[in-house]
Amino acid sequence: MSLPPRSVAPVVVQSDGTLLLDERLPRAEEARALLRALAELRKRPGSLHTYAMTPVTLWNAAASGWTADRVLSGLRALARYGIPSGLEQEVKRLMGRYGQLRLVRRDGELLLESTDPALLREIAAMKSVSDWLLPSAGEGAVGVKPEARGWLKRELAAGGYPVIDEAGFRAGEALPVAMRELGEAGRPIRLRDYQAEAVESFAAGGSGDGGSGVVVLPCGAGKTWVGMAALARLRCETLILTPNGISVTQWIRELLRNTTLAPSDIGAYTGDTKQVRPVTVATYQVLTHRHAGQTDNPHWKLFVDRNWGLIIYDEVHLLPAPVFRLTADLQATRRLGLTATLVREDGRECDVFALVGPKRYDAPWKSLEREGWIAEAACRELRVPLGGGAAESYASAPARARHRIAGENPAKTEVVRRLLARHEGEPTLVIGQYLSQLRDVAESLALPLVTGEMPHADRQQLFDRFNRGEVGVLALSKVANFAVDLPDAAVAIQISGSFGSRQEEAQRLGRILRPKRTGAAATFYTLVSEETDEVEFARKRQRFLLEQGYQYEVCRWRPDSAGGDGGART
Amino acid sequence: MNTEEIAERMPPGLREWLGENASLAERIGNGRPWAAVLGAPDRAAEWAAGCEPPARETMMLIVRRFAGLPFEEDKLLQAAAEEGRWTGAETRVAMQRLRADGILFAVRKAWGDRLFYLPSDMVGVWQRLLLPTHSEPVAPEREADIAARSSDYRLPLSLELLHAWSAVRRYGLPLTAKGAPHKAAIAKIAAAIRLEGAALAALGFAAVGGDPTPPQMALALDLGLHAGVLERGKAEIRVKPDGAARWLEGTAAAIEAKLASIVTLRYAGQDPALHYAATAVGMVVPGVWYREADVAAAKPGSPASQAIGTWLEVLAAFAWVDRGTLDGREVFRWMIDPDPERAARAAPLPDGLERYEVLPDLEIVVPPEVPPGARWALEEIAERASSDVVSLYRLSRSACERASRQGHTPASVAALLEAGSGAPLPEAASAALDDWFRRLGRVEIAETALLRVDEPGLADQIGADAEAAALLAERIGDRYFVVREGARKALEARLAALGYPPSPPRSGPADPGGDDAAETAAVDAGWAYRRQILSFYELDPTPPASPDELFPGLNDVPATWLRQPRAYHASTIRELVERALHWGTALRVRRKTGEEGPEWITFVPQAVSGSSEGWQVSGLVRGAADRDASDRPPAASRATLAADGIGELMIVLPEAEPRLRTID
Repeated sequence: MSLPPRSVAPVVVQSDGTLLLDERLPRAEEARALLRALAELRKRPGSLHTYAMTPVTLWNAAASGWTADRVLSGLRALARYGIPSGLEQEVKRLMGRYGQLRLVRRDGELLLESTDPALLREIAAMKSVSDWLLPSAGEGAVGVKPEARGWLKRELAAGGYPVIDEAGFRAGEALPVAMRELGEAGRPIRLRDYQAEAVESFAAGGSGDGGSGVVVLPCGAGKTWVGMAALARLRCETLILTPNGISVTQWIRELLRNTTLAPSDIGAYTGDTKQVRPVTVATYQVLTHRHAGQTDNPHWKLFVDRNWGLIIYDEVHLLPAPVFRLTADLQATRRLGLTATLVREDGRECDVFALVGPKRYDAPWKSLEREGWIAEAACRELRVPLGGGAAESYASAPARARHRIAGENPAKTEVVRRLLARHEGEPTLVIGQYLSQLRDVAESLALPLVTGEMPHADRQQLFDRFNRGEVGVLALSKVANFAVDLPDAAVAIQISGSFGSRQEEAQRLGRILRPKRTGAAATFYTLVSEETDEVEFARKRQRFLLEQGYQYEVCRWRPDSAGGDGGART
Repeated sequence: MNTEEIAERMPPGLREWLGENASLAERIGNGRPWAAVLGAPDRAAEWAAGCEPPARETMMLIVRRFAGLPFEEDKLLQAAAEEGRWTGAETRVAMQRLRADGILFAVRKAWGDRLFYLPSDMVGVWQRLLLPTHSEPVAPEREADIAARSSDYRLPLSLELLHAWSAVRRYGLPLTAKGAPHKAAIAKIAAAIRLEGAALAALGFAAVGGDPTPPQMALALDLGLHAGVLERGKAEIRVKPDGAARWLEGTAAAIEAKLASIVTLRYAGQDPALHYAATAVGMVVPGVWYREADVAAAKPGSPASQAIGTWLEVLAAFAWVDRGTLDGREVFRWMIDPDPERAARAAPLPDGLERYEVLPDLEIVVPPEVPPGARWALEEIAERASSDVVSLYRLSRSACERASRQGHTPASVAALLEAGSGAPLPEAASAALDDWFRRLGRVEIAETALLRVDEPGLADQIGADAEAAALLAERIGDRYFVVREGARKALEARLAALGYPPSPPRSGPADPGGDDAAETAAVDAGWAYRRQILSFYELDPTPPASPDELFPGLNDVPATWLRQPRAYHASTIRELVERALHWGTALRVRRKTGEEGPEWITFVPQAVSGSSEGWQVSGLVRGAADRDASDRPPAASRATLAADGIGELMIVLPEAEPRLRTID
């Protein structure tokens, strides 16, 4: 008798917890739902999608009620080659740890409880945490210093011991706030189903009236709406942290448009403005800023200035390390993380889990795409030969100078002109790395230019005009990389980029991913100088997008071709 | 030596007398080649069904005690004596029968010593026929209770080897003057192997001359050389492309099974206990859990049980079996089908499963079913990023550079990838290949013959000669020509004919051929030292011994000694006893009254002692109870017969092969 024939089950389980899902096979839909609960989507180029099952994803699953047996039987049923035995043991071990340790509050005391006294003894003996513990509070519990709540969770999670935090949250100062009934255009405000589900999942997590945790939604799926709805649901004073000043402005604008908050209720806390109001929107940057020689951070008092009931971390995957430290001290405050991905370039997913909270909601991006909540994007790389003497400069330049020469290839200006003509009438962004190049292009083509040097108010004014359709094309420096809300932009032309930052390309594409009122697909062009190192850098940048399932089409620009983007496909 | 090697090297004498065997003659008469006849499992089965107990049990003894290793007759007689079932005479007669039937073979060493052996490829066949195991699988509902014994993920041996051989192809493996690999090369190739050397200790790997090759690399080299994927030159070990292509032909499962079979023969075959264990393990149904002790039918801690444990450890290291514990007992299951024939007959894979996939982000996902040949090709054109249940490769610029050095073009790489994936290349992949290859192969440093002319006028004249011009590839400047490859001799002749015999070259490139030609006709291509290589010796063409050769002096003893029991004078009785002792055979004896036990016994004499008057003989009394079906040593009782306690008696000679019988 021979081995039983192989099935064509859709999942391959690798020994390191990587899970590959073949979208073309029967039961892929079922598998996708399973993997969304157990693992983190890492990439989805083509039809083979890669997920990673890590301690954090397994604890997130456990936090949602999954047991190791359920995880393993679910995987077994869909795994083509079974589950490597080592991984099976690891899943049991990791998930078995979830729930063994709980932080609770009894009679005002913070306690770390466990049903396993040996485990508590083991933890008490750990040097990294012993200073935060108080003498044993009886069988199965040990006291914890109140200020160590976050640090203890973080340290134990890093050591492989997740702690369920049931010590509760402070209610925060009450704030009468609700979502408006009608939006600016007079249309009723109604959350999309997945946004409402995300808010419910967050509010139901933790103990009692809401909790802490992370909501994962793809770019363009409306994370701000989830934040606003959470605020309206909890009705308490709220601190919102975002990556940059533009994003602060946009949060404030959205809050004013869509909630019953008055301008006097909302403050901006940035490099320029220091308003502390019932709802305050601040940048990560200002929080981490301190003067040379200072050890204390002057802005950290923001966290204690008011009795915040909720802190929202926008783009939580970008949360800088100092803010993590701050967050560790704020464990009595509810925390909502918003992000498109839990994958952090610095690998600190575990800190997000321990300090912000477990994943509470992860949108099924496939159905979002199907239902038209995310715009489709066509990505095209246009190869442009070096022009205007750049070829000679490039050949004779030292290696470190070449990237810029290739990026600033003057021949790109003509390509931009042709592309703008081709997409006339479509709101378009021209995005670049080098200011001198942007200025040249803006001047040659008479485009308004937004750079970091422009005051915030002026910038916002231009963005508003763009959003109202009064300006058809905007040239943007790298201020466009993060949290700029230009929802109607349908075309982006990237004329130069940094040395292969994967995130930059994604953020730039994110600018045009909001679904269009017309339902039209967005187009993303990247102009790359042919026969230069820029080709390789571009390839690195694009890898992230390819991994996210976007197709990149490579075309060669022919200077003499008439009209449009002309060039023959390679 | 296996049946194929025997068939190839069979001397005419051996062929002649083997051809007289009815069973063999019939098969050969049907046009089947000798190798197929000698190695036919159906013939073995037919023989096993009809053979006499002594021959059958002698075979069982050989399989258990010697497997495919050569042995001397004395060693077998000693083993038979230890187990006490058959007399030396019976064993010797059985050996002759086995030889006559083309089952047991012999080679002749120097000084005329003879070594007997079973063809290595038949040992497993015989064990399955004569010593089958009847282990019960673990009940399916208990499988969930099995705890894995190891959490390490291991790669199948076929992949480990492919990675090692690929490293040899990529980095080369130069040898020192003493034939040991260079340390730097060892490090590179050993880095390609994940298999732990400790797991190979049981295979008894002994490196040649104490060279520093780690065991896992020695295994890769040994199997590579044995399989013909690698060849040994004087100064290097290198990949033999046609040999690699031959080895890698077939499905992944078939190659894994082929490898399992080679590993059993080549390594377990060095140790009869291990070989016995390996064959027993190979008898169970793949994919089903079994208790290890059941397979060996052995007591825990016994040598057989230890050999099973040792062998399973090796198989687990090769990712061929999974081991676990259930209720405190060790269990295992095959993760591959180790039977090459079954694996080759396996149903075709569901469509697409044998293909890899090229993703738009330039990653290539290679499932385990992808044919090793396709993987081997991929190793040349892509970077291996990780090896796990599925392997991941990446297309990269450096891989393209490597591929270009091997003569690949973007078109050939694309064609290869499209053939392996069964789909057109993603746009991003073909664009990347075009980009990377665009600058490759455009310049080349070539070694070529140059015709140098002392002045331009003569160069013009030579260039104008049609015959000479046909031998020239290109003119460089006014005084030089590149000579076409292989045209040098012809050009010299033409120039001489034109009246300009060329001067001898000032210095020439070294003759590229001859200095590192592969060693040919290695007796046993491989790296590891093996205990005894039979192919060094000539096959013994001597026919099986006749009865008077088996029993020297047979024609000199009175026929009645052998025909029926009679009473003899005490001195004659002693003669009979000593004769039986000399021949290693039994006596049929009627014991005189006063002794316990039956009156008539079959007695195997072992020693005679005492003076002429009061001598006695000690030995074994063979009882009817001995004749059970098991192969365990009989519970023969030891007895001593005094001379005056012996009544009628006769010598019992085993029935020799009738064809060879000379007396009746």
